[in-house]
Amino acid sequence: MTDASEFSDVLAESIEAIERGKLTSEECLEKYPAYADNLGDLLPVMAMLRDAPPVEPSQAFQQQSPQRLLAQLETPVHENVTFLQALRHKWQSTQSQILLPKRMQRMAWTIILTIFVTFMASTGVLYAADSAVPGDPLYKIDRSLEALQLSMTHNLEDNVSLRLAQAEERLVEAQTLAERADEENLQNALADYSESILSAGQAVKAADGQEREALLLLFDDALQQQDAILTDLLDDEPGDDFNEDAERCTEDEDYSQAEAIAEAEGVTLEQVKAWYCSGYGYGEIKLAFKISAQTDFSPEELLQFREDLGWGEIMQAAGLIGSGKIKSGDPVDEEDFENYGGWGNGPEDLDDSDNPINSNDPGDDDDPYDPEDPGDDEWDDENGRCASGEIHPQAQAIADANDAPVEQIMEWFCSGLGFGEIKLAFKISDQTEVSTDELVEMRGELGWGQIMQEAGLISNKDDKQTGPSDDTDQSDKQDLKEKKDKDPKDTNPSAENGSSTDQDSKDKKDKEPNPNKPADNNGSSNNQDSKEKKEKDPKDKNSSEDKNNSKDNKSSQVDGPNVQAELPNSSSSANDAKEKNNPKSSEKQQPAGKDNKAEKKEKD
Amino acid sequence: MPLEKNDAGLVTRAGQGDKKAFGDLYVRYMGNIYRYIYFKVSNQQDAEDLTEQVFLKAWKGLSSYRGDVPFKSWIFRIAHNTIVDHYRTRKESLPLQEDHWVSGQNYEMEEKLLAEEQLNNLTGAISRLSPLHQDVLTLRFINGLSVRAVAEILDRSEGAVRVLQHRALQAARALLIEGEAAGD
Repeated sequence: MTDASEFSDVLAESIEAIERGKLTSEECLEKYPAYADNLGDLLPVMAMLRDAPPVEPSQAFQQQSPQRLLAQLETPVHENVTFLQALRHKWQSTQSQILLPKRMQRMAWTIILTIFVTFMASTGVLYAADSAVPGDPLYKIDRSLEALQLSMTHNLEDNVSLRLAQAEERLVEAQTLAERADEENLQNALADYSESILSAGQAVKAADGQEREALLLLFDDALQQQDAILTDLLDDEPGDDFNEDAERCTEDEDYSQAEAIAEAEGVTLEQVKAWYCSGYGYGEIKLAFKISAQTDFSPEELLQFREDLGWGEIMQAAGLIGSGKIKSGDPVDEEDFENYGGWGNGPEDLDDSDNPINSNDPGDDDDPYDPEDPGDDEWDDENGRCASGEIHPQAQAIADANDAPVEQIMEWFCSGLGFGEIKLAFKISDQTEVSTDELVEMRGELGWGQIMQEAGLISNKDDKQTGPSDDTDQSDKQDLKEKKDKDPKDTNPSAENGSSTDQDSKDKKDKEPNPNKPADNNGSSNNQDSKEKKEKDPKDKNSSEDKNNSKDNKSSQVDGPNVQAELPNSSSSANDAKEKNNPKSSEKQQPAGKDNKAEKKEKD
Repeated sequence: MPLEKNDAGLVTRAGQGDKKAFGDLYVRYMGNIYRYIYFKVSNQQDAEDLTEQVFLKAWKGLSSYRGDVPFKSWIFRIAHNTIVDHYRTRKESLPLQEDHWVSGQNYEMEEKLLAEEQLNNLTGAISRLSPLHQDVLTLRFINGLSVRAVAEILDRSEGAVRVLQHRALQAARALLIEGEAAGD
C-alpha cells in the first residue's frame, strides 16, 4: 500500500470517527501523528464543507413543489420539462418580443413568480396546463398564463399575432373536446374562440395605415387556416352529422340545447329546432346569433351563407373581422381575456352603437365603403395594402376557383374588399343573374344582406317595393337608433310622436316580428316553404343538381314569405340587427303573436 | 400524519402507484437532492427545476427499482445522471452570476452576510473542481452520505471513494487558499 492510499484510509477513518462523534479533529491528529500535518490540512476543509451554511430551495418552491409534483404525476409529463421551465419558456418567448432591458426582464420574471406564488400557492399549481382544455382543472391556469403573456405583449403586431395564436389554441381545444364528445365544454371553447378572434379584430383597430394593412393580411392568413378547422368542427359537432338527418329530430330527442339557445336569444324553440332539424349544428346556430349580434346580418342570412362559405369567410364577409371594415381608433383592450363570458357576453366595445361594421349606422363617417366618405382614401392602393404589387395567394386561389383574372381580384382587394367578400360576390353571382362586377359595385353602397335582397336571393322583393324609400329607411334607422336610447319598455311611444310616420313605422317594427327572425310556430312549415322556394328560386339553378348531399337539407330560407308579406315595412336587416341587438327589446322581437298581428292590421 | 420512518414501505407503495407515498418520499429527500444539485449547478433556479426533474424521473422509474441499493442512493444516482444530462445539453456550465441565496431563518443580518460570503467562497471553489470531485464532496460532506452510499451512487468501490475523497479535499483546499489569496 502506498503512502497516498494509506493516508486516504487514515483520512477516511478519521472523518468517520469525527462524524460519529467518537473523536475530535485534535484527537485524530494525536491518533495518527505520522499524518498529522496532512490531516491538519484537510480536516478543516472537511469541517468547512460539513458546516456549510444551509442551502434551501426558495420558499415558493418549498410551498408549491409537493402539490405541483403530485399534479404532474397525474398527467403525462413532458420529457425534461418542468412547470417552472415551461413557465419560464413562455415568459422568455414573450420578453424576447418586447425587448425589455435584461435587468428589467429579470425583475419582471421575479414579479411574475411572486404573483404566482401569491395567488397559486394553495392551488397545487398546474403542470400540464398548456395542454388542458375547458373542463380540465388546469385550464384556468392555462388561460391565466395566456392572459399574462398577452398583458406583457405591448407591440401591436405581436399582440395581434398572440391573440390569433390563442384563438387557434381555442380551436385545437375545441377539436379535443369534440373528440371527447364533451358538448358543453365544446360550446364554451367555441365561444372562447369567437371571443379571441374578435379581440384580435379589436386589436387591429388600434393600427393605422400600413401597419393596419399588414395586420389585416396577418389576420386574413390566420383565418384562412383556422376556417377549415372551424368549419369541420362545427360540421362534426356531436349529433350534428348532416348525413344522419333521419336520426335528428326524433320524438325522444333531447332538445335542451335548443331550448337554451331559444331562451338565450329570444327566439322560439320551434325556430331553433327547425334550424337544427334542417341540418345546422347547435354550435353553428349559436355562432350565427353571435355574429348577427355584431353585424347587420340576421342569423338566418348567416346560416344561409354557411351553405357556401366557411365560418371564417362568413365573418370576413360580414365585415366582422379581417380585411373587411374594421376601423382604426379603438384602443386595444388589454383585458379582453377577462371577458370570456360565453355566447352572451361579447366584448362590450363591440356594442351596436359603435359597431364599425354597420355601414348604415348614423354618424358612422368612417365607413370605407361609403363613396362619399373621405376616409375611403385609406383603402386605396397607395396606402399599403397593395403597395408591394405582389399577387396575394388568396387572390390567386379565388381567381383559380372562379376562372377569373387574378388582376381583377387584386383590384377589388386593393380597393378595400376582403377576400371573404370577394368569394361571397362570386357565390351570389353564381346563384343570380347579377354579375360579380355589379355586386362589387353594389357593395359600395349596400350591405351584403341588402345586396342579396336586391339580387332576390334572400327576401321577397315585393316587400321591398312596399317598404319605405331609402331616405325613409335611413330616417327610420335614425329614429330607431334614437329610440334605443329611450326606455325600451315604453311600449307606447306614439303617444308623444303619434303624428310621425317614421315613428309609427318604428312603433310597428317594435311590435312586429323581425322579418328575418324565425316565424313563431312556423319552423317546420317554413322549412317546407323554403324547400319549395328553393326549387323555384333561380339560385338553385346550380345547387339543385350538384348538392345532393345531406347539406342540401339545410333550410336556407327559414323565414317564410308569408310572414314577410304581412309586413308593409319590411326594413333592412340592419334595422333588424339593431332591434335584435337591444337586449331589452328582445321580448318585442318575439315572433308576432295574435295581438301584434291584429294591431298591425288595424294600423294598415 | 408523521412520515414513515423507513423508506421501504413508502417505496413499495409508491411503486404500486401510491402518489401520497411518493409525496412523502419527496418531502423527505427534496432538500437533500436540492443541495446536491445546487452545489453542482451553482444556480438556484436550475437547481429547483432539476430537483423536480429528478423526482419525476424517479416516479417514472420506480417500476425498474429493484431495491438492490437503498432508495436514498438510488434517487441520488438519478440526480447525478440528471446533472450529467443537464451539462451535456448545456455544453458548458454557466459562471456564477448571482449571489448565493442562504436560508435566512436562523441568521441575523450580519451572520447572514458572513454565511453568504462563506457560501460564495465554497461554491466558487467547488464549481472549479472536477465533476467527480464535486460529486464526492457534495455527497459526502454537504449531504452527509456515507462512503458506501457515495460508492453506490457513483458506481465505484468504497476504496475508490476514499481515495477520491482525499484528492477532492486536497483540491478544494488548494482552491480555497487560492481564493483567499485573491481576496486579499
